[in-house]
Amino acid sequence: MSEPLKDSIPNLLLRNIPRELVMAVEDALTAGAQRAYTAAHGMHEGHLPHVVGHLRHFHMNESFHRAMTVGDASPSAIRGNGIVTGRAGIFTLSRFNIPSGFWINGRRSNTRKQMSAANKAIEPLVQPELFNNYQEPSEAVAFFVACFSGSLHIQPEAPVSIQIAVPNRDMLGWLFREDVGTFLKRYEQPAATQDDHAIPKLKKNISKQNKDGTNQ
Amino acid sequence: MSRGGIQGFQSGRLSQILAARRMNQTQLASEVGVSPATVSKWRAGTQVPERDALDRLANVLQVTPEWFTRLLEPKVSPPLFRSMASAHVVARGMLEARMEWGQDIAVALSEFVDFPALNIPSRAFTDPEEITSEDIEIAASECRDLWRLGRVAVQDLALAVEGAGIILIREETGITQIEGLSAWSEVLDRPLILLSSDKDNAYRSRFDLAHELGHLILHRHIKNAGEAGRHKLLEQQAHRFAGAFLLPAEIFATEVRIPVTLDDLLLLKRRWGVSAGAIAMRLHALEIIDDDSKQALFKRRSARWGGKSEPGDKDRIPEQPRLLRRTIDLLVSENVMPIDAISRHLGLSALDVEMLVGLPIGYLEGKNNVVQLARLRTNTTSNEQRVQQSSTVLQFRVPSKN
Repeated sequence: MSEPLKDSIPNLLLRNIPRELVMAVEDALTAGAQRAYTAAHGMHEGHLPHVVGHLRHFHMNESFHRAMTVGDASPSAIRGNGIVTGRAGIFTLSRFNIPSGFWINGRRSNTRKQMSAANKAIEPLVQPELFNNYQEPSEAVAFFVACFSGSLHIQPEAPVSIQIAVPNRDMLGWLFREDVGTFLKRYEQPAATQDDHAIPKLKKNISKQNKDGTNQ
Repeated sequence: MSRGGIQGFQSGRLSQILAARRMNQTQLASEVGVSPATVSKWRAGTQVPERDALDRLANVLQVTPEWFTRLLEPKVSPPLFRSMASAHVVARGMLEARMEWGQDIAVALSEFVDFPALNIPSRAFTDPEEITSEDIEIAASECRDLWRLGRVAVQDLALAVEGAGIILIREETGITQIEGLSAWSEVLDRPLILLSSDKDNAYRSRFDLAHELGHLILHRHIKNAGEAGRHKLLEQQAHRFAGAFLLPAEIFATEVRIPVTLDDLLLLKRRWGVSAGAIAMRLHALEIIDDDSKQALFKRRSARWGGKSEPGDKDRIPEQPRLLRRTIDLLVSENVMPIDAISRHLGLSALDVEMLVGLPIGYLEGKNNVVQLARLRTNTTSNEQRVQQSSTVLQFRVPSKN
């Protein structure tokens, strides 16, 4: 039987994506959502949810692009209604929005589905394959997913949560999914137990006493 | 010099022990049965005590007579005290003398053992005015990195400090106004920290320790630290360091919800091991809360909890030093020295050694080696009742003679 894998998807993410970039994306998505909601003010009630949804896409794309630029994550250009992608280590980073709990929406974009194919290489981290030995890949994909309440009556100006999500190869399931706030805590690397260095060491050639008081 | 006086009597030892025992010459003279003038001459070195006077002196001051002939180690660097008020001059003298004894013990023990190598960031500031808040934050981060503490709450600061080669003493001093002091020892080539355990508050003690660590790192090369204006600035900087070290900005700031309530602070207190008051100060230092919010928090704090204690102060047991204690245990377990010879070797009374090293009182005299056997809980039946109960006497079987 092959040895269990020591690596994991969250470890791979931690090694490749700087904490600062994750925080920047968190801020960008929150700010983008806020701007979109403000920009939709005054629109007709009949199509307001649509307008807000569209504007979220554009504003959050922009703010995501800015976060990627500042974080040296070489973002793709903003063009049309295409999604912006960035790069951190082996990960291609991108984003999408969903109404809370409706994760299947991620598959609505062909680009995202194509991107996700690269994650075939990291699937063994979740489900070890019988014949293929895992090797650290040079390519993988992670998404920042802003989950909204799904109603303009409940917190329309900000995502209910922002998650970091790694899809499987056909984007039908998720190899890893976690709230960004929780994920950020992983960077803290809590030491299970603090190292104990407060230990004196006996010098060499120290004479020791026998039980009868004579020196050894 | 009078005839028959003890050769090699170190007058400096007498001054040191008078400070350590918070005793004046007149008190000592009356207890030893000599005139104050004689004690004065002993201290000045113009006269040395004779054999029987020295024995009485040693007995009154609870040291071995031979201790008075031990050469004084070079003094530690002028310690930085929390309070430089003239009212505490005797207290400061006592703490400094106790710290010198701590140094003596460490020097004596270092003949047998190697202490952990000194591992703290080095700074060459000579003027406190040149130290910026940013310098302090960087020094605190560097210290955490050196000690591999990450950016999470420090589990045991005393352990980390001793692991970095600093000699730590924590004892009851009877002086509540001065929580701690720190100094550099030339002869040990490492610093010492003495903490007062009188307040028995784990949160304050941790912060005091981090404060002294700040002095050691930031203020090692600063002269005339005791000057009024300068002293205040040094204290502020050590406080800033303690906050930065115990509550690192990157992680701590993410955990704070604004506006902050006292109950939020209590949760953070439990998690980070820092008092709610010190957390409020840190939030202000990081400009997460402004002057008005800080004042409002402190006002509310006083109204809810009074001036002194906070809820949960007794939740944690104060961190204890262990390096010197472990050294003594090592010497005993490796048969380098029997337990009852330790205090004799160090020349101090067993009680002084136990307090400075952090051993249980009576340990060096073997009083703590009595094992308490667990006793079964007695039934409600009293002895009288038991006697009344009928019992069967079992006869020993007499071996048959074959």
